[in-house]
Amino acid sequence: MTKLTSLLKKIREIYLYSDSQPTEITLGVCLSVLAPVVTTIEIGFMPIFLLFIMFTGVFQLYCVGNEDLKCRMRAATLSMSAYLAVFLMYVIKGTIFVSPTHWGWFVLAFSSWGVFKRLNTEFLHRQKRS
Amino acid sequence: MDSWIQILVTVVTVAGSGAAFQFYTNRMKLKAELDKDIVQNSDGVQYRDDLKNRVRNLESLLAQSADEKDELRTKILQLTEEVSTLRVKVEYLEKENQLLKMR
Repeated sequence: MTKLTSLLKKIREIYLYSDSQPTEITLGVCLSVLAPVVTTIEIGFMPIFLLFIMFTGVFQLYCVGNEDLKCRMRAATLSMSAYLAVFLMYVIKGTIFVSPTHWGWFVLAFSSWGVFKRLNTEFLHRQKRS
Repeated sequence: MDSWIQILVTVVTVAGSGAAFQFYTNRMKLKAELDKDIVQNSDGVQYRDDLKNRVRNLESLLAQSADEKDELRTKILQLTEEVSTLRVKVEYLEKENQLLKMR
């Protein structure tokens, strides 16, 4: 029981404080490449929305590449909203309960939220140090 | 899917993202400041500050008493010197007195 508690504590610590660049890159690539293809196949061609999510993904990759913390925070919030928007599109289309994998967008939104939290913690620590 | 739905969802997403960013940034900032205040006002920190003040007071008292001790030592030396001088004087005066009596 103690081991399980310490394990959960450790996981929580890693979730809150670990380095999140690889996750950001994955989320960015997913938004800019995977999301447009999948949503076009499953929901239909939505040029305005596709442009938006592709821009969000590229913006996230740009921020990670630039190593700009404030930009990364903005990109993380934007990507979280974009994933929620994709989820919303499935809800509007009425196919959210067609396949459980559609809920994966929600998981990705949660992941973006985690990235934002970690970046915000890092930002506050940097501010405290300077 | 209709264009207006796409536009609506995109606009809502962008606006929501901006609002969420502002809200959570401020919220986490406030929370961090609150945590800092809690740490500063905690019993442990207050006890530590109290101990620091007490140590500072005791150190100043110790330095003060060391200065006083030096002053007193100087005074004792002066007084011992004066006593020796007076003792010699008294001896001479007693001898002179006896000589005067004998005459």
